[in-house]
Amino acid sequence: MWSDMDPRSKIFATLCLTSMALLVRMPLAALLLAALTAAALIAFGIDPKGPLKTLIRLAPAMLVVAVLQVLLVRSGRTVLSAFGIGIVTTGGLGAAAFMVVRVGIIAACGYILSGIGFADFLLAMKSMKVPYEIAFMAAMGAKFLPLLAEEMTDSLTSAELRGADIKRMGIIRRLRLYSEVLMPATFTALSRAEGISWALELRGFNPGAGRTYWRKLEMRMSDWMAFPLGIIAFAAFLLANY
Amino acid sequence: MRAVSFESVGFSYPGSRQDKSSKQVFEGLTLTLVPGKVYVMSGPNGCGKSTFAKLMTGMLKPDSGRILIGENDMVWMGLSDIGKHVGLVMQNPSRQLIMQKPVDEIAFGLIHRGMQKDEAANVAKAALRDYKLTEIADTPTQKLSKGEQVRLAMASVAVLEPDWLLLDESLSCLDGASRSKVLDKVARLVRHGGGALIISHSKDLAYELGAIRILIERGGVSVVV
Amino acid sequence: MSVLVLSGIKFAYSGSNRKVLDGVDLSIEKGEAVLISGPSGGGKTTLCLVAATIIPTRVQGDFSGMAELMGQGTRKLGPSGASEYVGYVMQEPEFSMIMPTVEDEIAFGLENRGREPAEVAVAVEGVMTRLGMEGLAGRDPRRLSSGEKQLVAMASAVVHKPQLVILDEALSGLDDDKRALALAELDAMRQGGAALLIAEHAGTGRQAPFLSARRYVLQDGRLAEEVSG
Ligand SMILES: Nc1ncnc2c1ncn2[C@@H]1O[C@H](COP(=O)(O)OP(=O)(O)OP(=O)(O)O)[C@@H](O)[C@H]1O
Ligand SMILES: Nc1ncnc2c1ncn2[C@@H]1O[C@H](COP(=O)(O)OP(=O)(O)OP(=O)(O)O)[C@@H](O)[C@H]1O
Ligand SMILES: [Mg+2]
Ligand SMILES: [Mg+2]
Repeated sequence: MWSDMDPRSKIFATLCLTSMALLVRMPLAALLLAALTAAALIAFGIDPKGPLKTLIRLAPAMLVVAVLQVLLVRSGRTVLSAFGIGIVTTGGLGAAAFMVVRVGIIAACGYILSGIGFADFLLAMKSMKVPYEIAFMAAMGAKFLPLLAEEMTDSLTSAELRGADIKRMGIIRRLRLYSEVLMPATFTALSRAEGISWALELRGFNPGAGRTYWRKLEMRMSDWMAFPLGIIAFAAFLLANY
Repeated sequence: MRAVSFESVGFSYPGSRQDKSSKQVFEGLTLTLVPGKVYVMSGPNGCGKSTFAKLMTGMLKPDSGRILIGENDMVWMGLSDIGKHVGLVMQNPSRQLIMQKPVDEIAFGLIHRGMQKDEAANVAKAALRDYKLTEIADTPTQKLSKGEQVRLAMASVAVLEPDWLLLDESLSCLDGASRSKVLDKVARLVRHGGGALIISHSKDLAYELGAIRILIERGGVSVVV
Repeated sequence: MSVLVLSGIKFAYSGSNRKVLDGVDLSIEKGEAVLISGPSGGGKTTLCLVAATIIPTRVQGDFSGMAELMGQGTRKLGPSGASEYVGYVMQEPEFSMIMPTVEDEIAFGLENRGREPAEVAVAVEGVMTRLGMEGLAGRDPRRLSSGEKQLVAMASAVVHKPQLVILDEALSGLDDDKRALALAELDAMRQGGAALLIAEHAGTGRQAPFLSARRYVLQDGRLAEEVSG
């Protein structure tokens, strides 16, 4: 519906959501926050399949951390005990659940942000009075991860075509392949980023200098609404959380 | 050596988040490539030549219809199986290079196809010599010039001896000498019963090679001459 | 005043002791086209990078000689300074594209140079029409065919009417119609006073452009003028 919303609304929304995700303490607030994130995704016209895939890819790491949380945090009632020692406590379960919610929300926010084009991002940062050098570094940084991801995908496809049967490989061999490919892919992504920065400079992209914008960023009704909505949501969240 | 057949293949690129409309490239494309022949494919920019090459190596999957290698439908084959039959040098070869050192690049496929490391290294070194790449053996693959990358990609694919060799605009990046070298390799493959598909804008190439021409027009219609 | 003057240029990339350029002399005047061919790996891209000031300012290596763009030393000018004079089509243009649509990509350089929005819109539409790329309006430049990307890169490099257009193998991927349009655009620019530096493989079965261009072969680090015949 608002998929072509102003990048500023998107940046604002993700700032709200991530800060809430870091603050969240009460179960009710966590639920509210999860609902808010879902609403934001829908409002920005993002197909939930994308963030879900990201989450699934993160799942093994999340599982490990969640298990650690369950085992290490011991507060509240003991749920499961063996030999008279409490193993799983409600506190531990809660901590794990919060961790999952946090990671999920941050992943979703990353997804919202990655939909903003490089230049739109800069533009938005500039109009929010972020110093240009910082904005440029942030934008290049944000550009690097997609470059690396793309490079990894290309490399793995090429590896498969040359006989690396990734689907049927054991986990050890698969990890070895990934690590074999990761370093060169990182170098490639770096050299691509370098090429981008040359091209940008040669095309007159100069952080200090004045520039014009042939398309204006237009804050429409729906964009202005994002701000009060965000503030109301934040207030509701604080009420639920404390 | 097996034929590759496209049976009423349809393909479109899905829309993206920025660019919503999907892009139909082929509809009902039917075409059989028989081994022992060289095909030269041409057509205007954006008509789908590279897309065809990527479909033929399984990097893209058709939306409808099917692509057969011999009797086997490609949907049921993994990329590593397809790679035994079809080798592609991409239009943008830096996308298919994986390793940091040229020797490792060529050895990569050999090792994954089960060759011992030492032997693979020897074969790779011989291939570097063969493609006149010894001078750049210490240059990282990503820093190589475009023509050097094309030759390296070609070497890495050719040492695996696929039945089919696909060259996507590779010849236009090469000087006279390396071009003849690559065409020699193609001729040899074809003499041994393999096949080749060369994508090129050159009008005279098909004539020069005595090849079969495939013309793709916008809208994905093909005419074989 | 010459647009580009190179004299005694030597360059070796860091970590390699091979002189890719080993005493290159070249000067290009206003309204002149220079075509550089030579073996793959012969140093054409390296020479383009020197002309665009990327070497020696952004690439590590052993550089010597004198390079001047519009009468100014390239080392002092740097890419930001050079951007005022140069339009550069890279050999792999897809890695320099950053805007979400083709029009925005072409407009990017004009915006950076502070042109008025109305003027930008006219210029973008003009170059897209002349290069026959109306059909690409609204497309994401990273999701195009290679030839289409080359066309976008070419449009972005010429839209601000630079004094020096550097084309690194920028025409090889174009079909005959597109190539003719691109050549017509470049020739018009040349007649308007722009200088052209074109790196292209000659003799690969397609007719090399610009019969009026001075032709050189770059081999073993040196430029040799080709005798026209
Ligand atoms: N990743 C992509 N996403 C969406 N559309 C694409 C993508 N890649 C190519 N296309 C579109 O699909 C069509 C076919 O592209 P393809 O790259 O196969 O053309 P081609 O015949 O190889 O052209 P060229 O001669 O320029 O290399 C083009 O219209 C192109 O714009
Ligand atoms: N960053 C780098 N580090 C080390 N060597 C490099 C680097 N960049 C290029 N080279 C080497 O310098 C030589 C000249 O490269 P260059 O890209 O200028 O060739 P080219 O004439 O443009 O070739 P092509 O026709 O294949 O594009 C090549 O052998 C290349 O491997
Ligand atoms: Mg193509
Ligand atoms: Mg080059």
